[in-house]
Amino acid sequence: MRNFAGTALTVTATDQWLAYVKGGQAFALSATVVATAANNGHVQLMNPAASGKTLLVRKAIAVCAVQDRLDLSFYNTQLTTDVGAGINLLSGAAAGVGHVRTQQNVGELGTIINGWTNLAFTPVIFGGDWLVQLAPGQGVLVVHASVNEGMNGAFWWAEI
Amino acid sequence: MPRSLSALLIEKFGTRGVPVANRRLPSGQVGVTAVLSAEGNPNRFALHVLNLSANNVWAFFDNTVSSTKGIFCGPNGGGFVLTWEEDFELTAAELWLIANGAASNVLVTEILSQGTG
Repeated sequence: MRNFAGTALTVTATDQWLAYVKGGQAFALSATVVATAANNGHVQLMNPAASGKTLLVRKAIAVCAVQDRLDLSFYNTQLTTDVGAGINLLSGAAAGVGHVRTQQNVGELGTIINGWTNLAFTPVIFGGDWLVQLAPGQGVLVVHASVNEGMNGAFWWAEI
Repeated sequence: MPRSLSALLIEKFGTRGVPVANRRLPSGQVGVTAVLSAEGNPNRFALHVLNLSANNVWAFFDNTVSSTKGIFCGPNGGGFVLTWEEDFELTAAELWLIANGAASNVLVTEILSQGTG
């Protein structure tokens, strides 16, 4: 038997991301939730149940206008408002299967992975090389801990 | 007059050897459940397995293949080749594949005996 190793042992995360961008497998999209009384605003990246793809999330970025705590959470129920499909970072190539969605809710949704105290108008960046992996039917979201705030959330991911 | 590859193969082995790709995997993809990717075939001379995806793929010769039981095929070009001269009747055995991500692209190429026709 003759074996060959592929690139598993040598490729860096940056090299891999570059390969995804060039291959039309890298996507990004952001959404804004407005301040709503008594509600927490959520921005989610959802991998639809029948997508047939795995989403490998590179970064999530959240920013709001006030000092608060911004949480990254797993949440596998798709939020109520569909903002749209991921935009392919290979300009002109097909949109992604992953969708960004938003929802206002009384109370935070999901299971918190990580929460960061933020300064006003200062983005919180979740992820270095890679962040989370989503199978079909799974989602991840960013949410502000205090109610009645506006927030912008953005996701960068590969579909494999 | 140059001789064709087929003629040379017929002379040496008494048969042609014809490549066929993804015969058992029309989609060219495997997922997180073990899938039969090549049937047992006594007419197979060689088997070439290539992982084209960014996920890990494992290969074994029955449906108990898993991430802890199988030949590891690394992302982006990992794989292996079986030939009858080196691997004997393993070359003709069933091939089962499993990946650690859905819709992982693979290429399974068989060299099959096609007689002298």
